[in-house]
Amino acid sequence: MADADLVAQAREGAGWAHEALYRRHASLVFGLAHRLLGGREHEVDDVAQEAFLQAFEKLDKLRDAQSFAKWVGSIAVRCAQRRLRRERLRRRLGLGPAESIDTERLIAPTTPPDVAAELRRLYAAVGAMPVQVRTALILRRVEGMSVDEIAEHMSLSRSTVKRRVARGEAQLAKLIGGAP
Amino acid sequence: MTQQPQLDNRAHVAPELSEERLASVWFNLSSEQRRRSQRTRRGMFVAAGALAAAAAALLVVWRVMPAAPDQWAGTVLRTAKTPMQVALADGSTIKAQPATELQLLSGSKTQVRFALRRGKAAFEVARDKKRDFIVEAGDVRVRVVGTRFSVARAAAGNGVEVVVARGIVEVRDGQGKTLRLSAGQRWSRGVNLALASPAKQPPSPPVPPAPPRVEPPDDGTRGGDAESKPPQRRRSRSRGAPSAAKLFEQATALRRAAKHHAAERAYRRFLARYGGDARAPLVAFELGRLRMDQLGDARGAVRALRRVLRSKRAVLREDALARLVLLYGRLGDKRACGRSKARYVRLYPHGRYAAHLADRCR
Repeated sequence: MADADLVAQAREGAGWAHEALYRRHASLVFGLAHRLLGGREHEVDDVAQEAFLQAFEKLDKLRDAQSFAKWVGSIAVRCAQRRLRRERLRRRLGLGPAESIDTERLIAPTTPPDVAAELRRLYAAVGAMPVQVRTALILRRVEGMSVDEIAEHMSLSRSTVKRRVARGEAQLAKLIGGAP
Repeated sequence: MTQQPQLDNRAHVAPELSEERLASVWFNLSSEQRRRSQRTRRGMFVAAGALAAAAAALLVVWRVMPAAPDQWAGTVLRTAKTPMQVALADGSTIKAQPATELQLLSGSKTQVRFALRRGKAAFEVARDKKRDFIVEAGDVRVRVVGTRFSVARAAAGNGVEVVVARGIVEVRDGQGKTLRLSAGQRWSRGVNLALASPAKQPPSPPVPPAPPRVEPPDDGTRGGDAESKPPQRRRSRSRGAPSAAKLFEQATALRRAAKHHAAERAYRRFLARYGGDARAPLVAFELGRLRMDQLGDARGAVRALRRVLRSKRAVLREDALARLVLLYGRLGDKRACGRSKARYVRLYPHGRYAAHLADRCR
């Protein structure tokens, strides 16, 4: 059954279609949230849940029913960004502990050492970056998205995305003292 | 030379998506969906509890039919080989035995009507004098106000059996004859039923609460928490305490709002009050995760996760055991770490966390 058919059923109120869409796209949404947030399970679950909830609530606004995956992915990116901003605000107000990403748990043990080292450096640096820069950089360097895809997921123009990614790369190079 | 960053590293930074985790999020998601729709559609029956964390593992199919008189009318609960327990928004619970099909025909503030298409289901109905709770099995109709009873239907023919464990139910057969059954009584039609209850024995409670279990922790931690105490039955509900469903929702909302300490207290309250509830293992698991990931309370997390291991339900057990290995490692308890790891490897030789745990406890 294609996504478009499931979306049509879900619009009619079929609960089983909601669940089918959730199960079909869970790995995409959980994956995005996991990589953007740095793997904290509770937050990842909450973001994934919120993303699907918003998607189901606004199903009528989805123009191309077949592009549900892309759509729910961009909602997940927005939810993750909102979460990161809220956490950052809480930390600024002294209400939360400093962000620490457990790269030991985040990066799979089967990752080749050079790639693992690269990812460790990236995740050690993103904590200090503005949320939009962090998101753009992770979408580029971990998700492997093109500039166009990032622009679509973040609802930004191509040129803004390029600037954000470039700023992230520069900040990363500065923080780790490596080559840009 | 500039090193070109490798793109698409998704496989190296992938979440561990266990079936339990997916089911747990779906459980919260569908509850929230209903809660939100309930806000806009007043007076609607809401089967709020939906599935427990194990739902998917239990091969359950929920269907919500479109264009029904109310949102959930038409919802069908089907079980395959494993029983399943569903909690409703008002605190009532339904336990469907294997190979059961139960459909919600209608639901309103004054009447909830189910049809048992096949199999056997046990009901524990929250007392509500203003609302009739009706279960139909073929032409037999069972009406109840607040009680615990089960209805079973034969695989073929018109055989039906009703067993009352508590309270009073009214049974009306196909000829319109009505009789009242009280606690300990049973009524049946069709002797060749392949039903689970023995005919001449007093009926056992169809939805037995999990027996209180107190096991001293063998890891040297003190079991002084609510989650280590024997589960108390719903004693406090009559005193105005929130129902299990309500308390579960509250705790989840608190956790989601990042009020970790308040969420932790709510989960503990749940375990103290509703230790026998079907959601208790999930709550214990959430409590363990919260303590481990957010509160830095490794010992508390161990206590909560050990409770998950003690529960009879196999769901969440693998995740709990894997986390215990990490926790014991964090606590520096090599023996307990090694024991838990060995147990994990024995139970799940090809488990999801096997690779992740391989170099632990050294």
